[in-house]
Formats: sequence, C-alpha cells, structure tokens
Amino acid sequence: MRQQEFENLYQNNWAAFTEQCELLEKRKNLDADIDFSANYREVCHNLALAQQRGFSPGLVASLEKLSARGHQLLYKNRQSIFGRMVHFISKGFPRLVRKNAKLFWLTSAVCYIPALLVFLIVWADPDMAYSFLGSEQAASLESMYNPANDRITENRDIDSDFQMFGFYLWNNITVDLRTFAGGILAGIGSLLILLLNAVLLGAASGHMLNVGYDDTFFTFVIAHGAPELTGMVISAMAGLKIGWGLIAPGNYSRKDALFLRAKDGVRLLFGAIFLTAIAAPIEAFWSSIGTFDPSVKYTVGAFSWALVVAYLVFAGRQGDTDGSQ
Amino acid sequence: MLDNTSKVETPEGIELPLEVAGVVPRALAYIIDLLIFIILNYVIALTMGLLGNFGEGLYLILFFILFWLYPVIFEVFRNGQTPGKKALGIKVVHQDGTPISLNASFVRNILLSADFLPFFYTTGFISMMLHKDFKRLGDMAAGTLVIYTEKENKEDPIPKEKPKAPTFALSLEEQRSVLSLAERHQQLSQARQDELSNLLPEKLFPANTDNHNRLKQLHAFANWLRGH
Repeated sequence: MRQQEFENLYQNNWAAFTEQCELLEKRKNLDADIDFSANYREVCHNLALAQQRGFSPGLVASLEKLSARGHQLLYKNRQSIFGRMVHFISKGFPRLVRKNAKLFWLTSAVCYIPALLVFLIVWADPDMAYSFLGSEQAASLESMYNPANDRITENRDIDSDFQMFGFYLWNNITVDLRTFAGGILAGIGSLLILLLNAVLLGAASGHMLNVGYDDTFFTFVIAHGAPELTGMVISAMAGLKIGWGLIAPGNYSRKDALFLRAKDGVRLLFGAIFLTAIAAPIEAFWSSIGTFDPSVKYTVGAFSWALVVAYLVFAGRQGDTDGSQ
Repeated sequence: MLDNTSKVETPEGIELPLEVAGVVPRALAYIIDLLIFIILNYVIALTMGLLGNFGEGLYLILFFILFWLYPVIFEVFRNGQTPGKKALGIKVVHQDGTPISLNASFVRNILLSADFLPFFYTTGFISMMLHKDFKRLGDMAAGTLVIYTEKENKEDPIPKEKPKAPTFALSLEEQRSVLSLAERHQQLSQARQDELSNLLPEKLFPANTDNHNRLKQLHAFANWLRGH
C-alpha cells in the first residue's frame, strides 16, 4: 500500500480520534459506544506501519503527535487526589512506616539518644547549656517559660494564637521539607538537621530543669511533641531513604536507585507533613493554655503519645493487604 | 542523529519522541515564575498586614502554600505547566511521557532546594549540563522530564509533479530523505535544498542535470513514492 492509499483509508479514523482527544482534554465524557483505548491502539499501529514502510516524515510526525496525545490521556491518573489522600493517611502511611521499621528505629535512635545524652550532660553540668544553646537562646527560653511570666498564667487572645499557628505550620513543615531534601546529599543533610534539632531539644530540656521552669516547659511541649517529633524523625527517615539509595544502590544504577527509593521517600514525607500539620494547631491552641493544672496537661500529653504510637502500630493492619498504595 | 529528543517506548510497542528542553528555556521559565511569586507575595503581605496578628498568622500559612506548593499545584492541575513554563512552551512529564503525578511533582519541587546548593542553583546547573536529558537532581529522583509542548507541525503538501519511478530501488533511508526534502520545500532556502539534494546518490538523477531540474526530478520521485 502506498502512502496515498494509506492516508485515504485511515484519515477519517484519525480525524475522529483527534476529536475524541479534544473532548477528553476539555474533561468532557465520550459517548458510551466509543472505545478510546481501541482507537488509540489503532493509531499506534498506523504509526508503526508508517515508520516501518518509510512513509514521509511529515505523516510520521503527525501520527507521532496524535499517539502522544492519546498516550497522555490514556495513562492519566483518574483517581481523585482527595480519595487517595484519605486512603494513604488511614492505611498506607502507617503500613509504609512498619515496612521500613528498621530504618524508623535507626532514625529514632539518631534523634533520641543524642538528645538524651545532651540532656544528661546539661543536667550534670548546668554551664554546658550555654555551650549548646548560646547565651541568647538560653535567655529567650528562660523568659518564655518563666512561671512568673504573665504569658504563662493568662491566656493569649485568639488572634495571637492564630499568628503562632501560622508560624508553627510554616516553620515546622519547612524543617521537614529541608530535612528530606538534605537526604539527596547521601543522607548527610538529613542527619545533620535531625541531630541539630535533637541537641537543641536535649539542651533546652536540661536547662529548663536546672533553672526550675520544668513544669511550664514540659506541660507546654508534651502534647504537640508527640506528632511533631515523630514527624521530624520520619522526614529524616524519608531523606535517609533516598540518601541510602545513593550509597548502597544494590542491583540498580545509582540514578535508578534514587528514583525508586524516592517513590517511598516522598510518601514517608507526606506522612511526616501530616503529623507536623496536626502538631501545629495543638501547639498553638492547646499547649499555649497555661491555666490548666499540670496533671491535666501531662494526662493529655500521655494520651497524645499513646495515640501516635497506636496509629503507627495498628492503623491499616486490616483490610486489603496491598501496602503499595 | 545528534538532537535533543528522548525516545519513549510505550506499552503499545511504538516509540514516541519527546523533545527535551535545555537549561536556557528552563531558567527563563523559572525567572518568570519567581517574578510572579514575588508579586503575589507582595500583594498577600499588603492585604494581610491590615489584619493584625490574625493576618500575620494567615500570611504565614499563605506564604507557606505559595512558597512550596505554587509549582506543584500548577504542574499537577495545569497539565505540567507553571505560568513560566507555559510562556516558554515547555512542560513537565514523567520520563515515560505520561502526565506528571502529585508525588513526582512534589519530589522535584522540594528537591529544588537541594539543587540550589551551594548558591543560586549551581548543583542543578551542573547536573543538567552532565545529563543527556538535562535533568537536575529533582528530576532524577522524581523521574521527570521537561519537554517542549508539541508544536503545530505545518505540513506543506509535496509540490505536484508528474510521478516518476526512480531507476533503482531506494533504501528506506533514501526514501525518507527524498520525501522529507520534498515536504520541506517551503521551509528551506533554494540553496540549501540544492545542497541537500547533492547528498543523495548521484545515480538517482540523469547525468548533468542542473540544480533546478534536479529538484523537479526529486519532487517527481516524491510524488511517485507517495503514490499519486
């Protein structure tokens, strides 16, 4: 068959397929009796024939363009983003953390062991607080958590609570994202950011205990600390996941390993952002209330930790066994 | 052939060519997006400044969305194109040519901050210069490509000439060259067409044909090959 005959035979099909593509690109539905994928395969077949028979480059290019359009439409993700998010948060994310349990414990150790060590050092030798925190930060912590401070005993108005909410959301999620991005430097960036935060946490806790502001400090941090610290650890875990892909790519090239690990990495990061985002309103609207008895705040704090642990341990255990979504 | 296309094989067994965009159009698109970001940020800051502490909180939330999600939202919901990319006629797709997903867009845009290091996108620049598909680190991790959107390919009909069969069977490559040259007769200068036709096998044309007749002959062959 010559090119001319070929064109005459199929050009009605191509025109019809172009129309169908236009409709779909405008997010409209096709008539029920139109089989888009079958039409697409036929265009692909036409393209293969045109290439193989050496038909003119102009014809080949126009068929390539048409197939590319069909390809984009056929392989588009049709599930709604909202539905996938709900499924991911309720099942996919805790499953993913459990699947990477070893990495989770390793990262937790990198966070909590140095934090504990620094806490003990500062506790044993109060002056060390100034080496870890610097005198300015130590002074600012002292003024923030001084029980005599009227900010502690009186409730802030809702406006400044909301202001702090915006600040926590922006600041903490940005830390998560930077921690993840640091993972591409062979994991070193993630580790450094995590360690830095762990040292600050340990030093601040130790210092507050030494100056006797421990009640105001710990009642403030305990409730939102559960999702926030867990979110921080998991974002570092996500970064280490891609960093480890570069250090030990296994049977893949480093490029492919990076791509494959990043798929799970970004899903861990989404979960970390979810936890951090929950922490922000707790921190802004609950932790800031100073009028409750410390025992109430500690009880709520313990409950918050139990909830985070239960979520990661139990959520998504039942139902479909496919942990990939 | 030395060009910037990246071939993608689809499950249907065909190869689609994607024309990969290089550093310059991408940098320009980024600068346009940056300007839009700065203007939007300025407008939001002014409006929220009127609302006191509450406004400041809202501003930080909006700034967060604008800073981290501006490119993601456009890439996922506007067919792989931020306004800057749209202005430059480029878009982001997965490396298999399919439309970009939320996860991939998120990875490549978060890792923009790694590509920034140590100052003004040095890492991203070096990575793009070294990669055959001009990928920066974010593109490698996300498995994405920045490509030119398909241009309208205008097809000039092959000039009418009485179809004539070549005196010997042409190879597939030669057929394509003849057809391609005939199809592009309006895009190429006369001199360039003469030059290109000289690259075809000498015995295709009768001895001592001048340039003008040579092209006429060529168009006659093209008509024959096409099957008029």
